[in-house]
Amino acid sequence: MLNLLERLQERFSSNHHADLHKNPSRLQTLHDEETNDDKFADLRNLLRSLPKYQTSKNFDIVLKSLVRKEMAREKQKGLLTSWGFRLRMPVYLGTALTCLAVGIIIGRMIPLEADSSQNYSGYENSSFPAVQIYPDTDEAAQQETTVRPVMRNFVIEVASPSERGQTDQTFEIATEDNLINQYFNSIPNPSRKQPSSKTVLKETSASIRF
Amino acid sequence: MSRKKDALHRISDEDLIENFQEGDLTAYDEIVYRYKDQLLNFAFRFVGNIEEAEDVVQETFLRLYRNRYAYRRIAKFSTWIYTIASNLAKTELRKRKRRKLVSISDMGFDEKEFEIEDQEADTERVAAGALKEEIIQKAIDELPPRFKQVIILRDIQELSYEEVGEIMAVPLGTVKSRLNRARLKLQTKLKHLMDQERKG
Repeated sequence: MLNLLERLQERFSSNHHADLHKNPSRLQTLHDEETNDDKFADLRNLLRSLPKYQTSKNFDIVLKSLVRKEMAREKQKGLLTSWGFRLRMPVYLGTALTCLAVGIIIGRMIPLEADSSQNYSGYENSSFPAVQIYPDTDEAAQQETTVRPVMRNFVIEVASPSERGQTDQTFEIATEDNLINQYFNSIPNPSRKQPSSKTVLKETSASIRF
Repeated sequence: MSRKKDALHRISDEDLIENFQEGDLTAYDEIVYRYKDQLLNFAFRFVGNIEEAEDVVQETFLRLYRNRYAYRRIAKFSTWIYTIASNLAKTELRKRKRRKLVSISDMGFDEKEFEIEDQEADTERVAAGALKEEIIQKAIDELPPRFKQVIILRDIQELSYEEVGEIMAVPLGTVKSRLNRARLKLQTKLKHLMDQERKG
């Protein structure tokens, strides 16, 4: 009992438990602790006798290098999350979006070049009439090889079988577009000798796709 | 320089972490200096291997560095850092359990790890400190984690009941009952050793 009182006295005097005088419930807790512990004094002595280990020299070296790495990582992260970067972020984003928009506009303005080098051979013996399509703006435009993506007026020139293959511009439209089919159906019987016919179709670009 | 060091030694843990939160790295060094051995012993008794214990302590200090702003002065710093170490030690034990399961399945029957030690033999060596420690450590290792934790924190690290309760996140009553049961279990396991100690 004296031993218990001594230990309690010791605890009272330590800085850590200086506020115990003001807290009776805490004092009771401490008393309970001591009585509980006393029941297992032998076991506690045995556990207290266990050797205490110290960290190796290597421990500090490894820890320092780990902390240094962590510092570098934080610095890197700090650059990305700094207020300076956050404030500039909308400017960067705006510039990127403007560049993208300008790119898209320029891309739309450049006309699509028709590939005149393509050889549409192999249809010479076909009974299918050769068709040539070009914009019907004026006479000069008829020589044009450029096919614009948006065209409202088209000239479809149908060459007779004897004239087939004479021009590079002639190619076949393999489409099921109703308008074209309608047009082909209206072609007179090729057994009758017909001159090259020129028909101007006035349709919107949405009607003909190729 | 030494005056600054002396001043640091007198500062409380809570003030140190506050200084560290404000960017003072010497405060961090002082915390490491104060706690590294305490935590090593705690982790060693928990995982039973000194290398793994060092890894646990290193990871604890690294977490402290990373999450320094998470600490609020409402709790004692010691309980906070012990909680981190304790969680890491438990994770280490779980990992080891998984590793053990894998290694046993990979092993052949000719390999020596299947040999079971004869606990009755070599009674003379019981007197030797190393063996005594080994027996105690083995008995601690055999306890369920919640009993193991309470015994280490109270009887080896000598923390108060309140601190143990805070670290384990259980009420004071639970600490008392759990500690009582843990001690009874350990007492049974170490009965022979305790009798020998009494005789010796």
